[in-house]
Amino acid sequence: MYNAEKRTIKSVLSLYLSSTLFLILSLAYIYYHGQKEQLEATLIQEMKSHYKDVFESIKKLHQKANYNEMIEYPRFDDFDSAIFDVDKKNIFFTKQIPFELNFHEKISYYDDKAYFIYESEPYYLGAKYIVVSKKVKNIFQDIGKKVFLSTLFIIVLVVLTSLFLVKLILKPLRDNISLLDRFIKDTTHELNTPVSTILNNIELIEKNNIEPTLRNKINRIKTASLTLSNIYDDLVFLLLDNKQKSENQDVIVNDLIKQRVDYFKLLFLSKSLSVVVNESNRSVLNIDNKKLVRMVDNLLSNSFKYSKKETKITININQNSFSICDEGIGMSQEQVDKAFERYQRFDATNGGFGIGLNIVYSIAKEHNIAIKINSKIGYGTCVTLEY
Amino acid sequence: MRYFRILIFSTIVTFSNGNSTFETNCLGCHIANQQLFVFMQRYTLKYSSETNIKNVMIEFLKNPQIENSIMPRGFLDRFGVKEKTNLDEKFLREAIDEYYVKYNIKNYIK
Repeated sequence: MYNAEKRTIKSVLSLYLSSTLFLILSLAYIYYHGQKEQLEATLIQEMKSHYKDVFESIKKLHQKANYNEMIEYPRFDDFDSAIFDVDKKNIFFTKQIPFELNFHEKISYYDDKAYFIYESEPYYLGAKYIVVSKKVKNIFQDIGKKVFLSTLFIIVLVVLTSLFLVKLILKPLRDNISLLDRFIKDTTHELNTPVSTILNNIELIEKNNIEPTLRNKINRIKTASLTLSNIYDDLVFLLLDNKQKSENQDVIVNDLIKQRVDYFKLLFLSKSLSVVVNESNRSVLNIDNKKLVRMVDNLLSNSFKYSKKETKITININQNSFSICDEGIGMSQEQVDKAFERYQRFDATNGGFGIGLNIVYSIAKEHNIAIKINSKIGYGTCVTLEY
Repeated sequence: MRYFRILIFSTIVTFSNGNSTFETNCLGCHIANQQLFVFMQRYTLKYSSETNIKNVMIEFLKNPQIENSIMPRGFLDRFGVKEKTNLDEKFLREAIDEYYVKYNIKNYIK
């Protein structure tokens, strides 16, 4: 799956899912409260009926009580009760209440029981408060569980449906990209042989024995071929190498940079650029040689492209970093922020696909190398790699 | 519980030569247990708690009126309101405490 496709799927999904989730959760919340209220209303009705049973029973007991016999407090199978006087002192209970009752709260829940407090008058058996309690079988938890499971089911369904839809919508786009990829891959493959042939043959020409005008022409052909070769290497890297496993080894950065500067020598000469390499230390980096070449080549190529004629490219090599600085057109902060994005080009007059810094960025990310860009419009750009 | 309280009450009475304030000052006239029980039943129905019952009883005994009597109008018309007590506050409280222990309806619930 392509990165752009992944990003599109992520953003579409997050937008679609968050709005759907909000809607589902709102509905679930309303449903839960509706059900809860309905159950509570049923429970209140049941409890009221139990309270009436207790009240009527204690009324009868109070009326028939006499000095010579004990009276039996009413007991029911499906609920418990307790009575309290006006001072909230317990008179009698069928089952002890395991917590401190708050008489201001008419309904309390404790463990799996509901406690309802009713006030009565006159005070039969001295009871002002009649507390009726019964097991509620975690009905509220049951509703919560049902709502949670339904919500989860709907969310999973929405995720699957939206994934399917997004893929369906993006299919033509994906097909086009695949086609383009295949085309670039084939074209790239076909470019390799002619570019190599041109470069090899130019190297074979004994330049000292030819006229200066012709030598200049040959040099320009070589410069153009080097640029073409660099583009070819970038495309190969994008299409093949970055998908292959790195063969890391200790690479002496100083030697590699000097070698690449030498490789691009003619290129720099074509714009009369002077290249200064300052080495303060020997720098060694554990990396796939081909990848470091891609990074350095792209940075040098960019410096060349954006440098003004007859200016200087300065390369500073330290133990754990190196920087390549040009005196070119420079970039604004906004351009610096977008510099690593693929296909970003800030100057249409220069060639290229806008993939160079993206390649540098992806290799640096893979090897935990930090990239810093200092740039000022009109003064130049300095790219530093720290490892 | 009821029997336990009565037992304590009887023990106190026995060790004070059988002359409790309640027996000496109340049982002379109110000889029927059921009658005393009914008074307490009526007090409980109206005033609910021990504190309330004892307070209104003291108020009534210190200043008996038709308005603060617990008995029905017919009863009062027939027998009238009792006379004001001569007992001081301390003895009155003692007598009421004994009366409450012995006839409190809450002690009859099982």
